[in-house]
Amino acid sequence: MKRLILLLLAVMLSAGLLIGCGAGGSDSGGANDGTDDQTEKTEDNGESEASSFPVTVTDALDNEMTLEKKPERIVSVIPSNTEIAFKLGLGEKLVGVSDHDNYPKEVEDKKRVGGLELNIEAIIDLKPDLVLAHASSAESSGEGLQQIRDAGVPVFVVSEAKDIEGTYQTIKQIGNVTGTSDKADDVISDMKDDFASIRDQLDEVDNDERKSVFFEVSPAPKLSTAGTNTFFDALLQVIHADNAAADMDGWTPIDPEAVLDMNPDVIVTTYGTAEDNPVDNVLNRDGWGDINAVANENVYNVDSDLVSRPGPRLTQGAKELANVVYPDVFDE
Amino acid sequence: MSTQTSLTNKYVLAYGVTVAFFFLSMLTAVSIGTVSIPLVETVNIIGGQLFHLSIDDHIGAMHTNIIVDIRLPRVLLAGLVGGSLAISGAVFQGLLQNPLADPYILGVSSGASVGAVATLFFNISIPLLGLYTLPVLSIVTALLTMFVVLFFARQADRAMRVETIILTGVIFSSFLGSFISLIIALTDDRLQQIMGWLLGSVSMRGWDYIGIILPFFIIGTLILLMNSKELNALVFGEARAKHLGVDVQKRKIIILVAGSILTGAAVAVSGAIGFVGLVIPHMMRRLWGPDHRHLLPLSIITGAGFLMLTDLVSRTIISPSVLPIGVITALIGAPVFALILMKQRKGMRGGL
Repeated sequence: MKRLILLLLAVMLSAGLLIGCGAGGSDSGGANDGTDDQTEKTEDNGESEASSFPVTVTDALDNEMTLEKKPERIVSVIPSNTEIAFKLGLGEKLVGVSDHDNYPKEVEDKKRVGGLELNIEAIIDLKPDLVLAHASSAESSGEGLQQIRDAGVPVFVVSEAKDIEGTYQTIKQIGNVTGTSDKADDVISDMKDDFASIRDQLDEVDNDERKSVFFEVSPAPKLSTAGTNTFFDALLQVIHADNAAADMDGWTPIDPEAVLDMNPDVIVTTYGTAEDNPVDNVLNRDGWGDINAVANENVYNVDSDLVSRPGPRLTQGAKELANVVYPDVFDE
Repeated sequence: MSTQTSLTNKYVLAYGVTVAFFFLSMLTAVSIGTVSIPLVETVNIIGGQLFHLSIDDHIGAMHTNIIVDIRLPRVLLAGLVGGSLAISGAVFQGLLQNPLADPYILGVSSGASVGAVATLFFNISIPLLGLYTLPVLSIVTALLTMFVVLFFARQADRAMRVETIILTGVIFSSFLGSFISLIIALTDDRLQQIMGWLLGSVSMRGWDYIGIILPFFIIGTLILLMNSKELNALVFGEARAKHLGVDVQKRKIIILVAGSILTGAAVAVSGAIGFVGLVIPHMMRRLWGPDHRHLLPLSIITGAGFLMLTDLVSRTIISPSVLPIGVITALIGAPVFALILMKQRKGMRGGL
């Protein structure tokens, strides 16, 4: 009897562990050291796209690979890769995307190849000539990726962007490996222009008018926020606003008391898809009534994909944030 | 005569120590937090609330908000949950004569979790209940689970022997647990909420959740306290209890139902917080003996104080960030329990 309970307990515990790993496994840093020599090596291949193949590239995991010709059937296993690929004009060539993909709407017609766990059979069945993986999940799905490589399909692991500059790098990488470097350069310079024009518009915000913004990335009761080293934080710097949680690092749970103490001017929730009325929820929270943002009803929900997904739409995220944080100054 | 006096003295000491621990825990838990508020001000704020005085300046208003709307309700909720889990743990261990028994052994917590997780997953919101759909549905599924478990145990074995009850409970636990896993596997955008709920927490529930658990707490506790003599008899085996004039079947069901009500309500408002229900009753039994007339109240008071303290640690140790309370209950509870176990090993025999 006792052994049975213990056994069951062990099974439940290990199941719990697996779930825990799956949910928290997006933080495998340190894997993007290979980025720099990768760009170096492919630099000289960049000028004329048609003649640039075969191309030899090194991915974020330091795997060197040679692509004989321009990829025609591409599978993307993470939404940011998909968005970048579409932006590079590769929409037609994408044959498979992840379960989590939701943008652009053309992804609805693409084959799904799994989410946290990849459906290796489905991927191989699509007969891709390039799989765009991602450093954040390369470890957890390492065996799966190896199976794909064993099937003769090149797997390019895109590095994990930690900031806006890193996002440019990933766009460049995907451009290199797909023979769309010129287009990638255009996309990057467009993004830079967009960010610059947002910055310029908000230049007139004086230091004493700067607003502090609290990001609520996960709702009550398990309140979480985004501190430094997040895209939220990077975008706040673009729009001349302060992160109320600047003392904290990364995505982190936070004690509600601390929010009262921070007394942010604006609260931005990012889980509008998971909860019906995030704004009302914050406005009606017990004890929060005296927070500036709540008292002045400066609580907004923005699409979390725009402000946390490292892709070309980050500029759009910055604009949305600027719109809600400085509605009087910013206008677009 | 002299053993009588020494027994009385022992329990005076026991209640003295546990009540002191309870009030000390409550006081520290209310006065310490991410935002430091002087003790005098804390007392003033609580006094002011009781006598409806208003505080005007901004800092005062913020501190009032923190104490009254954020800290006090979570401390009280921690107390109620801790007390509920500790007493039902004590009762299940005694009744089922199994030292591994905890409040979750009958599958009630899995039932409550299925209700809560399904509410989150399907985004159910019952018009009149609104935000309280989750705890209410969770209590309903917990009670349903309990009745189904008892019904099956009775079908399998008319006498409802202890082994049958445990086995049925364990099987239902894993059966319902797989539903939770299924929902986790299927969910996409609500994963964070579901995982957050499953980890257990007393944060941001507010006063209304206290209103939800309180009636169940009072009813469940009263029923169990009124049955403590019968529990004492049942510990010596069902045959002995029968000879002592206890209606074994009836009492067993009453006690199981009351314990499940307490567990279900606790899980419904806070998620499944482990360890309290397993270890606090063992500690109390080791320290003060197995007499349920005292074991039950002592477990409630200590369990309440313990969970208030662990919640305090969980929200202050890496402030302003927070750790899951279940981690803290195990980190603090296990070593303390090991200490008591080692110290008492020589001196005590019997019990559980």
